[in-house]
Amino acid sequence: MLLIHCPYCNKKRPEVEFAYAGEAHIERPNGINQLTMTDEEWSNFMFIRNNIRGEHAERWWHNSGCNMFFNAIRNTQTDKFIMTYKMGENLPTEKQIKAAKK
Amino acid sequence: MFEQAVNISLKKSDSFECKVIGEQLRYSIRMKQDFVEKAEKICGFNIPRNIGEVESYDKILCMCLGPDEWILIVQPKLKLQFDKIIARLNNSITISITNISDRNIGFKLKGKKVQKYINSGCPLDLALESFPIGKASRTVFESVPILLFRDGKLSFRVECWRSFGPYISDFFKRIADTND
Repeated sequence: MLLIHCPYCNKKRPEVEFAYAGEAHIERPNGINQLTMTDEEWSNFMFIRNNIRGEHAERWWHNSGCNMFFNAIRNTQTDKFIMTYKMGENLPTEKQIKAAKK
Repeated sequence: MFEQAVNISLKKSDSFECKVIGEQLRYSIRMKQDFVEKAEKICGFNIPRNIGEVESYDKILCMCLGPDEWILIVQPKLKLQFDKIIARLNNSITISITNISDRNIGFKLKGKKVQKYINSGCPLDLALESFPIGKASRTVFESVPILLFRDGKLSFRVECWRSFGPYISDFFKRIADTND
């Protein structure tokens, strides 16, 4: 079974406890922006995602564990989790990702 | 009817024992870590701060499930005392307390093969080094969300939603019947 490292529990836990929750680092427009946005901009925010082949930043949810959302860098080809980090932290730089691979 | 469905009769053996835990008071608590110290003073017992840690007393069990989530399991005798504590908590800090006494049902599992039987439905590593005595965790057992607490080397406590009770007890009965 695939083991996923949860940054809140700080432990590797079985994959059945987790749920995928879409691409990470997509900022929801604030209230005022929502009023002035065009329909196209809104639909872009809602539905248009990068379908990356390779290293992908995505959200995961430890729903049957500590019940927290966190972000992960995962290779979509090999299904290997390169690193996971807490919500609110910045997208890791290429350097950090390279270091995590070692 | 419900009691009949959950209270399974297992063959008496040293290798496995599964018993339903009777009536308990259960509270689900959500609060920010900043309030823990204040809450401790009001409650009069220690509240664990790290995920998976448990403070256990004779009649009180306080488990930390997430960075801002706790489960409190108390003997029903202390109902009056805890009504007062909860009222005081509500008045002094920002906290969410939900009474889930009837939502959950608890099982006590014991025996030489208990680890093996739990692992037949739950992928968690139950070795003593990674899941020591006195640790608790929410996890899944045969796709049912459960709360697993280790209170001894060969003794566990499982809590799940009441509606899953018959399913879980039946599952243990089947494993015990086919393995013994």
